[in-house]
Amino acid sequence: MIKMKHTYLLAIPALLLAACGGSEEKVTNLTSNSEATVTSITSEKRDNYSPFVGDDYPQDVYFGDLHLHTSFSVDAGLVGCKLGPEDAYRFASGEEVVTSTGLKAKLNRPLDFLMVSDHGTNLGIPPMLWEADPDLLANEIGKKWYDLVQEGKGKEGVYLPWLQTTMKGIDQIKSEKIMRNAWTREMDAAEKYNQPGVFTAIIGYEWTSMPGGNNLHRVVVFKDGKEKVNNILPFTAFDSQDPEDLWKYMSNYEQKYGGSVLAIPHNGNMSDGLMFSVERMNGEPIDAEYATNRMKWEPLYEVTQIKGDGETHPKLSTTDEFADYGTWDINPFKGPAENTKRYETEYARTALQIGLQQKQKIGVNPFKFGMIGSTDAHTGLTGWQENNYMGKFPSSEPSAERYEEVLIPSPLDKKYDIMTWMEVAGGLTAVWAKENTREALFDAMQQKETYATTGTRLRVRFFAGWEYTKQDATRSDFAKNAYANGVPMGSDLTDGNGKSPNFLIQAMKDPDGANLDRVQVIKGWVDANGERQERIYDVAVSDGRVIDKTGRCKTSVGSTVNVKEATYDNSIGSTSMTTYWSDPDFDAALDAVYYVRVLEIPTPTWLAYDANFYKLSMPKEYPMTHQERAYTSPIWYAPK
Amino acid sequence: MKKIVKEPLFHFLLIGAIIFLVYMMVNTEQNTQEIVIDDNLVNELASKWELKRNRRPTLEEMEGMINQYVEQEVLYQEALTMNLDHNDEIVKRRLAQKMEFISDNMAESLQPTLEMLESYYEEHKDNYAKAPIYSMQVLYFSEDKRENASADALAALNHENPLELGDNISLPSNYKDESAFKITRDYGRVFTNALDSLETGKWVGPVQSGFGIHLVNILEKKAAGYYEFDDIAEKVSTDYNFDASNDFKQELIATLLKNYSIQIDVEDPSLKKELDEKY
Repeated sequence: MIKMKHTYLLAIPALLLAACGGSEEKVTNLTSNSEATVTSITSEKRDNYSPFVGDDYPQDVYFGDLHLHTSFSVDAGLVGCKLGPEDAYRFASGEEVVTSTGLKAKLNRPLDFLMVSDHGTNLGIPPMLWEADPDLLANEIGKKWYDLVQEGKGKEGVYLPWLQTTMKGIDQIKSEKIMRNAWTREMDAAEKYNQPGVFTAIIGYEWTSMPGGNNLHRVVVFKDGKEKVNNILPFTAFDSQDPEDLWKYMSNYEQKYGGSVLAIPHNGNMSDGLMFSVERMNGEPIDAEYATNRMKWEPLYEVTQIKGDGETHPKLSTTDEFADYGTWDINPFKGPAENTKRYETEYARTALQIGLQQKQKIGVNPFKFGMIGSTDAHTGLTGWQENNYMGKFPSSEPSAERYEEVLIPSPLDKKYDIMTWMEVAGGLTAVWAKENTREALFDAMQQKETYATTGTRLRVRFFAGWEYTKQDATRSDFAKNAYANGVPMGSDLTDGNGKSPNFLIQAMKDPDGANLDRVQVIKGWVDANGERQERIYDVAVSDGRVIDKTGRCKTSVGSTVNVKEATYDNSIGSTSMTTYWSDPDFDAALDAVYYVRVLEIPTPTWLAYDANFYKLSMPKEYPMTHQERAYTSPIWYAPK
Repeated sequence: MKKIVKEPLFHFLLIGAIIFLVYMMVNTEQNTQEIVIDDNLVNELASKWELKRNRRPTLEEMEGMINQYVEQEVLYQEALTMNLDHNDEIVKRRLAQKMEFISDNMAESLQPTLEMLESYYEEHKDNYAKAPIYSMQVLYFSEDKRENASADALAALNHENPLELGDNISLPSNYKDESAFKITRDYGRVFTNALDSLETGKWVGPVQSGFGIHLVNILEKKAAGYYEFDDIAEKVSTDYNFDASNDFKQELIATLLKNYSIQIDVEDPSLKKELDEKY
């Protein structure tokens, strides 16, 4: 039988107990009957008049951002970000705020959750400099910084030299008291704006390790409220640059204070191949213990954000016509890659396959992660929408000039400068959870029942099982049946009988967004020679197009974008797609990983909206249209 | 004229002028201006260098940078003397931005009192209304599945029981005392905005959403009232400050404009009329 992750089997007796008024005797009877109750869920026979009693699967998906910086991050506050954590939560929950550059801004619809994730390294220093915080002024370096800021040299005198010492791992302030003060304010802001059921404010921060300028950053997400998180201070890159030390800290927090915590890495594309390296930081090859720990503490990967999309690289997936999306492959500190080898351990799709290879080698899959997206904006504003894009830094907040600004100057050569026009307007995290609370969202994240979007709020469900049929795709109780007879995204599919697994997929457009072009299943596996393999299947396409014998639809959906006016219409594409699919090339003897990619029809990018709004003519090579998308957490098949 | 000659101010100016003339004659270098090279500058240049190249500059490199700095400073000063900054679009924009920045800072320092915020809240109460509460039924007519979803929806309006005629959609078809906030999460903004003007107590439509066409039967719509001032004091304060800062800037510009007479010399008659009215 399929291993069920969702334990609503157990919940049924409990809920029946509530419905029946709670007689002891009845409960015992029902408990012994629980197997029978389960099998009858999908049939006509039922014990309760109300068919929804006992429904204990996620009925709704919640959208949010798990990666946002405010003035409490040194690299935001000292380059002009004035908005703090409270402003950030207010903006995300749908309120109108005034940005650092004096614009009024508001989201089209509120987010369901937000985690402010300021850099732990010298957390909260900028606002303390502005407030002339007595503890900071009592600190020799703090006083020096204060004077420089007063002279108007916050960026040149404090921030730029700070960046140098911080990249070397040197903490110039070294004060627990100052850190405690800043951390308390971060937690208080989250506590103040957390409204269970309406808007969830999650406590967290970013561990910013960058050995040699390579991005190994992780955001650290707490399930708990202040009463528990208050026991600790953020573990920062000053303490260690090695993720294994971060995991020790997390483990210590859970054991000592009974809390729950997870970490989410991001921007493998700027890690010089280190993000999914099969070597530990000490140079040893990774082993079963490393893999077990990594998957215990890092169940998710932030696959898309402003600094590039990390699903795959066009040079890795050469037959994937949608691979070149938000590609940021030039590391300004390193220049371009010498060969494509580096990309293999930077991008998610190959990493999932390398994970399977490693499982063969060391016994445990070290890269069995789910997917999320976020912004990583440094403005206090989670403004990811193309026609409402609030930028990466205050310098890239809306203005007629922003697209030409240098975003990250390269110390090597001007031609490796990262320019603002390259920014991808940022992604969102979608979580299938039972309710919108810290606890329910965290549990779903730990189970990887999540997906990433590049900013759209399209909905996608993805299930695998052995018994699904074609008819299951059109049932009115689609989700209920799918949960009862299979596993959702983020799960393992085990106990096969040699037959090909069946998949159920349901995708619905963002009600205020673009129609859907197609739904794809992307499969990764390791062949008999130990080589990584990948294959894309189109499983549903719009407008009556045909999927050929190879499982692909090579006909483009077309485009309705008017670049000059920055408009599009939904006369092409579908509003929703529901489908059943079975793997035609299944080999029961080989491990495999499947995830879903949903593509929208083409829409204008933020650059097109800027060009239209500010009446600009931009160079031709800038991307003016794109196809926004979602990546689900995978489902993993393992042979017996 | 005699009167002026007796004025002390005149004497003072005269003495000053004489000193200046003498100074000009004695000093062979005309118009000397100061360029300071001190440790502050050296440190600033060094840290910029280090940021770019990850190491301290050598003595030679530092000399090069200082040389460049001196050249830039000399050219900058000469450009100012030759009035090259006048009528330069970029310089004008930057300086205007700096002035605006100063004006914003001045506005920010004028903190409103609680009474001012409360009366602002009363004046702008419509901005602080809660989303209405609906009890309603929703029917879906898919444009993917139907030739003409709107026509089908219209036809369904005349049917005895329209409920039998809709398409499946995995979103709620029934809401009981639900906030428009939640309905927007499901069906989107376009749909919820349309609800506002609809008749209640019967099936009406077609209503457009991102998914297609709908008929709705609003059983009850309740206004949810306003947020209490105490609950949204921060939002009120943000709104107040934004308006105040804009007003301040407008007033500042209006006041400054009084010192200028604006000459309008354009040919286009309609533009001329517009401008004459404005200034």
